[in-house]
Amino acid sequence: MALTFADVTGRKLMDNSIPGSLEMTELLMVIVIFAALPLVSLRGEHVVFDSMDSYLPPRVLKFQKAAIHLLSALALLALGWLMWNTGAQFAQNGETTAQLKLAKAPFIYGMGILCAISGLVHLYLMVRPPAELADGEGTAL
Amino acid sequence: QTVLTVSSWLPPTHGMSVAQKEWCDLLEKNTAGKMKCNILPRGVANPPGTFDAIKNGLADVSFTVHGYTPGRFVYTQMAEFPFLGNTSEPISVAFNRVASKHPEFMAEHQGVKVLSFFTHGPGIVFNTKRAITKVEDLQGLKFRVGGGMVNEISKNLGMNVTLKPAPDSYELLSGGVMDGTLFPAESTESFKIDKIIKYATTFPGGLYNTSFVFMMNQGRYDKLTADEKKAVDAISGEPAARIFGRAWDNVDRRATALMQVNQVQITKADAKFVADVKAKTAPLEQKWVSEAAAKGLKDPAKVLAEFRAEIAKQEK
Amino acid sequence: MIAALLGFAIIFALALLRVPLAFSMAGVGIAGIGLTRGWDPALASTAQVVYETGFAYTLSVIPLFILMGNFVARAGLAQELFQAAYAFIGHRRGGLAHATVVACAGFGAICGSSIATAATMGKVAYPSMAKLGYSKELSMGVIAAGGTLGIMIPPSTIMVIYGIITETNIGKLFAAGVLPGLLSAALMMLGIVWITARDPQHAPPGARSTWAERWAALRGIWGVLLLVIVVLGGIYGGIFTATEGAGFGAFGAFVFALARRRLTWAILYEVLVESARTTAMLFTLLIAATLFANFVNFTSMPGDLKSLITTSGLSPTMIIVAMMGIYVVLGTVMEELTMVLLTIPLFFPIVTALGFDPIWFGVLIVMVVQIGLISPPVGMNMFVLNALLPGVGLGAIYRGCWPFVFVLVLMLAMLIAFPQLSLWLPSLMK
Ligand code: NA
Ligand code: NA
Repeated sequence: MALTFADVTGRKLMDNSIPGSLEMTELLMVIVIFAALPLVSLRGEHVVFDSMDSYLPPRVLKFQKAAIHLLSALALLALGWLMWNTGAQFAQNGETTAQLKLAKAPFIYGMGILCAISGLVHLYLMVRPPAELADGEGTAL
Repeated sequence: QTVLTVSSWLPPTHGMSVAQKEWCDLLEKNTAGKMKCNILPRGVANPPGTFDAIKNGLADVSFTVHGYTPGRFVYTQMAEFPFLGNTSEPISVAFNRVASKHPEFMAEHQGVKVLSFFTHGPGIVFNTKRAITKVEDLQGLKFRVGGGMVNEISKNLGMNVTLKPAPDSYELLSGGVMDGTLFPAESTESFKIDKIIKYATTFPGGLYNTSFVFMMNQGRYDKLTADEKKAVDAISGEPAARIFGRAWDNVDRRATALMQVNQVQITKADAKFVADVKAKTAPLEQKWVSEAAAKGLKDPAKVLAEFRAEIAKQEK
Repeated sequence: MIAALLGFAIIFALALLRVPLAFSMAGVGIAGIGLTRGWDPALASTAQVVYETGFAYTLSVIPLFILMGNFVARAGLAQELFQAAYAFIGHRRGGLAHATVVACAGFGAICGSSIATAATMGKVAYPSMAKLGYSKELSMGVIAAGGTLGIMIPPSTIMVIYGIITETNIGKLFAAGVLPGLLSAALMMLGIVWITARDPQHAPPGARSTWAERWAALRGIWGVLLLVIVVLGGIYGGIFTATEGAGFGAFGAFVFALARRRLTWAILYEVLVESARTTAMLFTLLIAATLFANFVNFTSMPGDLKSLITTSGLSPTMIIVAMMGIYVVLGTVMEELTMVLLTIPLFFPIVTALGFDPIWFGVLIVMVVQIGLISPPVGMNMFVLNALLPGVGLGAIYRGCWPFVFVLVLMLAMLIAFPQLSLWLPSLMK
């Protein structure tokens, strides 16, 4: 899955004016990002303000975490449904990418499915906490 | 009081945003302030998303380029062929006249109320490397183009093109990643490449053009009272096309003057060059005719001829 | 105005309740648009923002730079950078601390993340400092502060994020960060001189290296120097765009790690997946920030704020000073990415309306993020070191960071007073 990154890199190195290389990059990005979304959820890497954690009793914290996973799950499942419907609209309009003339609909269906999978991951996390992260892992700044 | 939420994906100072505001001011004046626009500080969506943003009612009124959503619009590509006309206003007016006679054009815009069609000025070939005087000169340089018919035209001419959004032009040309770009005169100024380009090749009637639609959310239009609809209709179609067309022509003139100041070497394509381009792009008209016919337009070849005749009439 | 303020308040409340920032910002944005424009447009625009962010070519610069940093970190480069810096200045008073700052700056030229820089250098430099008997405070302060150079010296994730949100040229932002980054490093080293002069106990001197050892140490880092020069030089010289430079750099770093035989299939897989995850996490935040900004666009807030400021009678520079003051204070307790994503939609239009250069403001934003990352009590660089080195304790880390907070605030003041520091290099770009 993520090997596609290296693929893009190689393409860039050879010749940056291969027709459609820009669109290929975009499509690969879509696949990589949305495929990684369930993993982000699974490892609990979403940015969270957790400075209050040490002030809360463990039982409250446990309940709070479960409630928020439920909320996140519902939000992502709803988003999955929304993207699936959007994909159907794109299929109907026949919209394609500009250069390679690839249909966009399958990609948008895929986004929807992967959002929904992330939602399921959050449901799973209600009963099992995410893995411990290594130091500085998954941070952006 | 009825307030329309209006959005533009171009900066407020750009000719198109100014033209849209002019239309708004006219609406407010004509209705004695009963209708007015709330122009948002920034666009509600990026250029490709604008059509859907209006269709979905995120904003009430905006404009967009048909080519930004490839695959959706076939008929309007008629307004992007080579050698249509030397200024925007006559093309835009003719575009509306012809489109209003054929309901298929509106049917292609399901979900939005078309206020007006328009185009920019004649498309020009700009580059930083050398004067382009014949078809063969177009090959061997790397050009940035936008989407739509211009992409097909440049491919048929054997050009090495990459599709990139217009705002990327500065970075691409200044860095030498690309050698040139296809633009109307105006865009050299608004995308700040006026000091970078060295050569321009103009064509009588333009090498290409770009089709735009100025539109309103259908549901919003349907909810207007009869009087309000009348007020909107009165300044839509041809009057709106004149506002946008004139705006393009103004900024084109200014940019052309600026090119002279910056000592851009301007080549006017000669008869041979034009004939060669015509020969190479003629199949595109054939292709459009068959695609438009397949989508449901009756006798597209006649519609195209009608369009060219109307432009000629307007240009007089 | 009230609608927007209410939106901000709800996001803060949800954040305190531990709702992930992406979900609270997106939720408030969607609900806000739903209430002001209707629910159908709100849902439709949500879908639109999601797929358009996914399909945005300029965003591919993020994973590629993350990838480049990860590859180089795996190639064992941080260790070598540190050794080279140590070979030259390790024998002076506070030499290890100076060497750490220099190595951080060098590592920052490849890695776009401040936290990763601090974590990597923490692993590399702290054991040497502890062995020589450096105080915990000075060691921690230097590593945490040095780590922040990772986002000022290009490449920089926060610059990419700022560039995308505000539509500012990322290549020019990168160029703008070079001088402020190097100056920050110099100021930090002055800070170390001052601390060690006041109390030499903090930093016992190390052994002097011979010139042969020095040249040997330098040989270990030439590959990286080459990579930095090619990527950044290529972007500045206009050979490629920031995105293409990032692709090139990631590929170069991959070859580099491969050549050093530091890459197994397992490590390659890990690096790729981790980069993808970080990117996905950032994308959810960008999508959420866009949704929230779209809602703010519909409210009267941008206009109201503008008129509030024009009637306040403050000079434009004073307004910037006030904004930066707010940022420094907020940065002590807030997660910095949250702070930037929430405030940019509000502050940026004001800044441009006042006629300031977006590139300069971008550099100021990076600087306040740097300050926030090491200003107690809440700062990711400090937390990462605390987790990494369990024996040290947050108290020592806090005490060690304070002097460097002042150093960076001084730097911020200089950047405000002399915009040329940020704008000179980008102005040289064609
Ligand atoms: Na960096
Ligand atoms: Na802080």
